[in-house]
Amino acid sequence: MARWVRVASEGELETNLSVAVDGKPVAIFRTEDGVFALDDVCSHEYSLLSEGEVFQGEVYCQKHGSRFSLKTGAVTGLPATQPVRAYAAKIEDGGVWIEWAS
Amino acid sequence: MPAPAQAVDKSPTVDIGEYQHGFSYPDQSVFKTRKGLDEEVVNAISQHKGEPDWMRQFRLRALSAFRKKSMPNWGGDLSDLDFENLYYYAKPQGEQSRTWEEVPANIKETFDRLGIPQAERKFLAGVGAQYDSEMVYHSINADLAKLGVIFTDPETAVREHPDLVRKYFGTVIPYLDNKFAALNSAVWSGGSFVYVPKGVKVEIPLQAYFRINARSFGQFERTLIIADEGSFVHYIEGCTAPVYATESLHSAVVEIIALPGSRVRYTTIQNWSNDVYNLVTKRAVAHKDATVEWVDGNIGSKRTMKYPSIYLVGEGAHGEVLSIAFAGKGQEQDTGGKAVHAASHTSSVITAKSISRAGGVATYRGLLKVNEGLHDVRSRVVCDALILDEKSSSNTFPYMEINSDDVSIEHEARVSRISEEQLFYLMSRGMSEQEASVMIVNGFLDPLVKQLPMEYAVELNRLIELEMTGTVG
Amino acid sequence: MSAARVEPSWMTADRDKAKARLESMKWPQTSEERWRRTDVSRLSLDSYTVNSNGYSEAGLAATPREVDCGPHAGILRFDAGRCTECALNGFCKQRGVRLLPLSLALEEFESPLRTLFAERLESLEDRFGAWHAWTWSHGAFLFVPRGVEVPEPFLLEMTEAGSGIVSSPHVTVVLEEGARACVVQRLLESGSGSGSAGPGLLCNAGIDLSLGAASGVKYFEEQRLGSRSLYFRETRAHLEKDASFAGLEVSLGSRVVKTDSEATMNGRGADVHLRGLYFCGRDQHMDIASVQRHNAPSASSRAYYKGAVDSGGRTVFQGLIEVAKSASGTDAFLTNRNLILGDAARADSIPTLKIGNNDVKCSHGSTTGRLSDEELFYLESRGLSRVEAREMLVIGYFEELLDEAPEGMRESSIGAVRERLQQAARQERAA
Repeated sequence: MARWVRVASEGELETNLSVAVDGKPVAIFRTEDGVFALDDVCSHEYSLLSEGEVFQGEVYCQKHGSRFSLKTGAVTGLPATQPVRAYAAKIEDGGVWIEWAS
Repeated sequence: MPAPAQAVDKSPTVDIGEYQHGFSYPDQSVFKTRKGLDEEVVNAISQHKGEPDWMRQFRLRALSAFRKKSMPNWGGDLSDLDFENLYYYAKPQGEQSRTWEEVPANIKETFDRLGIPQAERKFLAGVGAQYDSEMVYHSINADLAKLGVIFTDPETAVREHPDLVRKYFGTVIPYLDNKFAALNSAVWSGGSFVYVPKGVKVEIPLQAYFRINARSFGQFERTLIIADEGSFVHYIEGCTAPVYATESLHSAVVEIIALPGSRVRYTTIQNWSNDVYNLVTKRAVAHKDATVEWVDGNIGSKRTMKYPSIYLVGEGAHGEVLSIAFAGKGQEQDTGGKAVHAASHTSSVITAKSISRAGGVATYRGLLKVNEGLHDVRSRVVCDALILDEKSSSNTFPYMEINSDDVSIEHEARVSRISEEQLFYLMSRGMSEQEASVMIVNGFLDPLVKQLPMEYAVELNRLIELEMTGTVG
Repeated sequence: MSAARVEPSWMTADRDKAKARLESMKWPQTSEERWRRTDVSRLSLDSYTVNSNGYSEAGLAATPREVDCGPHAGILRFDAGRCTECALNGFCKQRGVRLLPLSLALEEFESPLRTLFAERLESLEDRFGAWHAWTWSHGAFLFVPRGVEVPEPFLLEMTEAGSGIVSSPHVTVVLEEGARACVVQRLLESGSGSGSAGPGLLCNAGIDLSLGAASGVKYFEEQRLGSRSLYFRETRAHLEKDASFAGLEVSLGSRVVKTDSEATMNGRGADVHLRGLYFCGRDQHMDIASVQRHNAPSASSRAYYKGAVDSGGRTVFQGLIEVAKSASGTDAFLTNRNLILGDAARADSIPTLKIGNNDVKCSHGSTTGRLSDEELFYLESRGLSRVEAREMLVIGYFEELLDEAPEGMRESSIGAVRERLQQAARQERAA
């Protein structure tokens, strides 16, 4: 059953933010194209995507350079070979929300 | 996250839209070639090569990554490596060349034994860079051009084939991958760029050796090979003759993209002189029904850390790594291979043979990874180590991470010395112990040496003989 | 820790040293190679408390009763850290064999025990080891004198209990020259049925075996803790010349297991045979390590570990053969097999070799795969259901490891594997 969960206030989100939902780390990104949310843990090795660089709709993991689409979580560059989960995200009423299925 | 500094472009990859007009570089006459690495050196390198801005920006971002990344806390001992004390580009003329008289006797003798032509010897020994292979190079190039094959150096490729380069450069090995990939990405110079069009099978092996110039044996070569659908190419790097390096760090990057149905074989015989740190990142991506074969021979260098890898991302892909390592006095060969299975119906084979003698250390390090939810994945890894005397040692560190159940994974490793029975038998046939040992060692390596083009196989056998009789190294 | 009891001063001093070491160490991180695949950061390790009331040995009779121990040479039972039975048969008593709670042996057997605890302190690898050396609470001591060969097995049965507490049992076995013995250790948990709630317990165990020249021990360990508990164990066996050590560890329980069995051959001609069986179900994580350390010439060692992992489980096997420069004539072999029983299961296998001498025969092998389709089909065509066929093949897969195990342990382990497979099948049907 999916529901919208408020994970942070809008002011806390500049470009990258790491939050925890139900104990699970989630990375939130804000770009000129909107707000995006992905599992924070890279699918290659343990590293936080929220610490990565964002460019043209992708996030680059700082540990080994793996690339993921912000929108879908699909892998767009090695060495990762598996996608990360993406969540719908929005900014509303001064808060950052993601759609969460518990 | 704080906004990055304005001086460096924010974009982490090469992109058409970022060309900045009117950017001025430091005047060449003001820049003095010097040791150490910073933005000024990187900008100078890019300017000297006449590169477009997107490549310059790529180098600068890689430099930033190099500074952030830490040294590996595993593998060979790299504590002697002093980054500040190296030249990363052009060295002052006076310091570069040496006279023929200064070349050590054992190197000269190896040239004799291996039958290296006179003209090549001086080049290999670092005495000037006047080896003229123009004739050979031009005729091969004409044939290739007819097929549509591009075989050139990466600088030329950046200028003449930017679309191809931008599509693939740095996509297999991102500059964030590890500290040495970041270093190479910032200061790369020389190497090869190969593009083979759809369906074209290149019969003769392409060898960088044909294009010998100072840059081909450079410290920071960057090679990119793209085999389009259904094509075939065999690329050979290095040579068995000892290469007397002018600098002590060799940090190359090789990226291979094998598009569906293609096959790429990449053969390396490395015999850097015994003061070189050889730290290389080599990785291939094999798409649907493609095959990539790494044949990796490591004879020289003080420390080598190199693990040719294959990412099998399309169904039906197959990868092979054949590795030979010889660790003699003062040497540490830390080599192996990686196979990452990211698609079903894929297979991989890693065969590694090593020999250690006179106190050398040969280490196998490998990774076999199978992603979740895959079917019909097969892999076999065999490591054989021969330790020739009590002073030497061998290590084997294979890592297997298996996340699917429809797999068949086998791994075996053996360590031993020359068998007494074999020695005795050969000696009873009239051979000296040394001759018998050489024969046994060559026999040990034979299954892999057979995979090399003949002249290399012959040279390698002769080289092993020289190494074992202590004539060199 | 030892305020509640009277201990020789050397033990108290050792505990203090261990405590000091512990305070200088953090919990292991995944950046350390040994702990790379087992992340303890979310296990709330600091929340487990040492329950000294439940884990004391007050009120115990010091003299073991001489009883008929049935098929065993001696029995030592603990319930929540309290010794409830201590018995030795006549044969043993007459020959000077001693089996008693460890705390009671500290004074009388100061010499071997002090050496062994000192060695532990010296080679501490992580905070768990330091924690154990500081807070070990109860345990067994077995001593077999020179030349005595005891045919029946000694039974050590420890039933742990409690929620949110840490229990640190320790077993020490000392065999003098030419002695022979067999030990069966069962680690169980009471009150851990499916109805109970709470975080389970943390068991941080240590086993030391000191094997004199030409002595031989067979050591069987069966770990059956509850599904919410955590299990960490370090076994250290030290072998003198011509000594032999045959071990079998069966890992079935706990939600997180990290064990390390090290056999160090310090005398020529020593012989080691390590075997391990691990069955890992959904929501379990098992990280099993073995070390064959050759410090002397002409020793031989074998390690044979077989694991099975079901959907949702994860196993790691890390085996090491280490041969010192002086260990010529070494003959060492290591094998790991992994059976993957479903999707979303993961098996990591890392057999390693560090060889410093060339006059050796060392090799290792590892295979990973699933049950053979042909065999399954064959059994089903003979009328077995898929579940029955799987059961038969998995038990067949493990059977060879249990060959030499005492009857009771073999039955108990096979029974546990069978029960797990059936439970997994029920869960799958319900899903």
